[in-house]
Amino acid sequence: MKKAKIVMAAAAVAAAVAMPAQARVETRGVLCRAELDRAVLLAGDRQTAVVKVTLDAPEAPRETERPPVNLVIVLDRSGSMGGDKIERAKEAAIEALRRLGPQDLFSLVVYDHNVETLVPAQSAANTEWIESRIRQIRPGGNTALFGGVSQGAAEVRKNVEGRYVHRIILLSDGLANVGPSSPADLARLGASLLKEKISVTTVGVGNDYNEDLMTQLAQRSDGNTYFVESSRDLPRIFAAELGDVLSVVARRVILEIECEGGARPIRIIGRDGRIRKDGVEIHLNQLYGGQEKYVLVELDIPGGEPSEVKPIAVARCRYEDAITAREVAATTRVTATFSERKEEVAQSANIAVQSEIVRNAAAEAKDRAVELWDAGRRDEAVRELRDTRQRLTTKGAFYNYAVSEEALMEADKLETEASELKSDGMSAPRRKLFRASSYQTRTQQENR
Amino acid sequence: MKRVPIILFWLMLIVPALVVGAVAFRLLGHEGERLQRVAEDALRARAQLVAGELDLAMRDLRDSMVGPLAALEPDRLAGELDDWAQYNPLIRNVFVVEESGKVLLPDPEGPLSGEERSFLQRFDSLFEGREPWERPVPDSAPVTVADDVSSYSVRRSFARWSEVAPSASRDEPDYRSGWIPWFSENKLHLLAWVRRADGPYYGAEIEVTALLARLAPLVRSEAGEGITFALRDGDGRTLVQSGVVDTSGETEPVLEVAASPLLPHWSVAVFGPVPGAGVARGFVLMGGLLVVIFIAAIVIGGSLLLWQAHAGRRDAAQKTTFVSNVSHELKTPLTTIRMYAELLADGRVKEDAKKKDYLRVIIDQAQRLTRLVNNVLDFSRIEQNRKRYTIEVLDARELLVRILEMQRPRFDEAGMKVSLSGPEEGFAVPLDRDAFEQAVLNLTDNAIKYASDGQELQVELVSGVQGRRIRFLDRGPGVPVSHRERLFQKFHRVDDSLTSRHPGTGLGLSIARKMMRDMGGDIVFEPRNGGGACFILCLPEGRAS
Repeated sequence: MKKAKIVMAAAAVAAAVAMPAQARVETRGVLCRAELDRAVLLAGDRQTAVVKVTLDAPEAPRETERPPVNLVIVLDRSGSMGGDKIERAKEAAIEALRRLGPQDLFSLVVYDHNVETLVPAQSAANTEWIESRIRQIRPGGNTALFGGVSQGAAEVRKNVEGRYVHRIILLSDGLANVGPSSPADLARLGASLLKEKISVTTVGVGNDYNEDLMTQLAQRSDGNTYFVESSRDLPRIFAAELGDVLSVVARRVILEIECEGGARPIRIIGRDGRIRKDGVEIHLNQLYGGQEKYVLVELDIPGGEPSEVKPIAVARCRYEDAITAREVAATTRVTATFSERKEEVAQSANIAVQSEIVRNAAAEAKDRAVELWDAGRRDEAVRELRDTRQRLTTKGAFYNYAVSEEALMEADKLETEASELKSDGMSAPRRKLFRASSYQTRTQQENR
Repeated sequence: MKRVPIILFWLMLIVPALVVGAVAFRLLGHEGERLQRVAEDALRARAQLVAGELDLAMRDLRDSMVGPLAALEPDRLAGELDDWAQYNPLIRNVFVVEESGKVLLPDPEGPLSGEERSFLQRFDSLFEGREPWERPVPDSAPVTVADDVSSYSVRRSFARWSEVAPSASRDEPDYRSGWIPWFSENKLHLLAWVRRADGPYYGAEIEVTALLARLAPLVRSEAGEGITFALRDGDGRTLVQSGVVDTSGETEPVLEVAASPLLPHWSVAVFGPVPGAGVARGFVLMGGLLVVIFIAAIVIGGSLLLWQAHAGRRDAAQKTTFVSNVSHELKTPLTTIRMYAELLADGRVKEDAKKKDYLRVIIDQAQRLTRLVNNVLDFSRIEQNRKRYTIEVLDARELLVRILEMQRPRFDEAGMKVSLSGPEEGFAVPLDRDAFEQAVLNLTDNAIKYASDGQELQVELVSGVQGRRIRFLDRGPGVPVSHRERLFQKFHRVDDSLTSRHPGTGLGLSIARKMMRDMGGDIVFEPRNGGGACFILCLPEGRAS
């Protein structure tokens, strides 16, 4: 590991030498870009600015070249899954299986209060036998979600050292009620799995599952999360998810932003990550082909002289190329130009970045509203949405920039949601929608 | 036979039998308990095996934590710890704390994440020195662990992460290390620490959730055996389980063993039926059944023997009574015959009419003697199954009329009026003449003997759906209810003693019925309305073939 660090440091230096200040470093595949919410900062006092670091994944390789997948489907077969749900889930699992190739691994864990490995990890070529096992699933019993995921992870671990894309798809319609079952517990399990390059995608069916738990687990392990109201959508969701898994181009993606010139990180907008004194570290795990993922970090930037061009941060993206299994690094620098003239600052506003900020801020507001509502502070939940909208649409109240049309529209959605929340209350589907949409915004999961 | 000795004998039989039975049951119960215990011990051994594997895995985990920790570069401690935490899925937090309680990592100056804040809060009293760092961990007894794939792979996975950290070969341990199970908000947290000489304490908090996920495969049961293994925390909450029993409810475990000294208060619990308990129950049940059968056989067999002995004695007594009865019966006509014969022989009776009378008496008595002897002979023949019947079709009515006519003097003497009614025709039935006559005679004899006070004997011939019958109805005392059952038993007499007002052998009805039955008919008794008895002689069906 020490070695890897040295190599990366060298790469960073090389990049810094070779590239001009406004950096756009092309690596083997993943493209790393960094931009500020406004290219020109007002000279003088300390101020906050948001830096957006974007990772552009190249198109997915052709079928023959893609990295093999180690897929575990963890299926809730508790009593409440009876009827159409379990049938669709079985169909979806078979659909997923059929999309895998002989180089891929497939395993299936089912759980009620007991956890059972129905299909131990094996080549997905053995479709006939696996399908017959899947069709045998009968619903009944309680919900040992933790045990199910643990067993799924154990199946992944059998082949964890291979160059597979490891993925667990958890499908549940219920609440975890055997073993650790708080969202925080499952979040920590997710974080731990991420360290092993295992992502958990959670698919919640119906209106009874604990969406906090499901989104936390997915978020911390960098999987996707889906909210499926009708079990008819299951095969489609599985297909989409598998599309992602099959198109993984980069794994173990770690983005480090190191501040320079006295800048300090304040917070990461939307995502989770480690904030240190002079930098942040964010784990993204996987990038799918053609996908664009970004990170928004709010920085505290010391004041500069007019016309000064100052380096603010270095963004380093390290990842493992999914095809060649080699460590690759991409680096980009963030610089800020200072100006005395406010118009110039206003003109330099980066509308794209701003609207991303608004969307993420709105997503965060939704999460906060859910938490407030849960705590019984219902009026405050509605107010939270309205206040956020107010803040986002009022000129000067948020980051000192003019609000773009697009951002305005995003913010206006909050007003609609606030009034609906006020009149209809927080129903289970609405809560799930809030959580899922917030999650999808913050992690740039494609909304399907 | 007297009652008391019988009861005594019976008690002597049944009391030891019951005592033996009770002892057998007790032994069976003990054996059943022993089997149950053996089954439970086997189960306990399996639970201990699971616990042993957990313990071994935990020790490996501890070693895989402490070893790399001790090998870290002292001057770049914070950085290396941080890096290690980034890659080791089993690490939740890392820390460096000076003995004074000053926290160096997580850097209290920098912005702390929520997780880091709660970590510092959680271990506040430890870091500030209010709780001891060094705490003994009791050594668990060495457990032989099945060296199978899953246990090995779990332990290997711990070791794998320890390789990530730089490892230097230090032979002499110039450091101290420890393992702290820490309870906060009723949850277990684990801390591994190392301290070099006078340096700061540093180490890692274990990610218990991830650890649990890895320990889960160790808690396993064989499929289809119905029992469930569960790893439970101090509050009895199931953390992970394997098996079909729902342990989340109020279900109590069959047994529970401590999981590992490194995981205090956690336990391996077993739910569901103890395998082999069914066998023990079945054994007790089968054994119990056998004991019951055995005791029942003893009691029934013994009672049967006692009853037979009693019956034999009773028969002997009856035969004695019978012999004296018969002797008495024989003696009476013989005395009369002898008296009248002597009177005639002496020639003292001159009148012809009187002579004729005496001769008549002699003939009567001789006839009575004949009947008696016939009865006794028939009885012994019947007893030995040597009685032969000559069946021919006879007109039962004609026969009956003749017998009654013959007996008229006796009826007259007894002051009884005999009446015969019923159809004239249709009573031709296959019969043995002598047997039929004997049966009718026995019935009329009885009537004369016991019912002469009633002064009438109605003989009715009936031909109906129930067949052709001859009913003998008298107005005598009838038969007491208690005797009706045994009326036709041999030697049975309503008043069975030598002093009985009416002499008799107790054979008449028994013989009559036996012979009628042998011929295909029957004799039954029913009480007569208005007092008296009614004996029904059922004639055999159809014509003789």
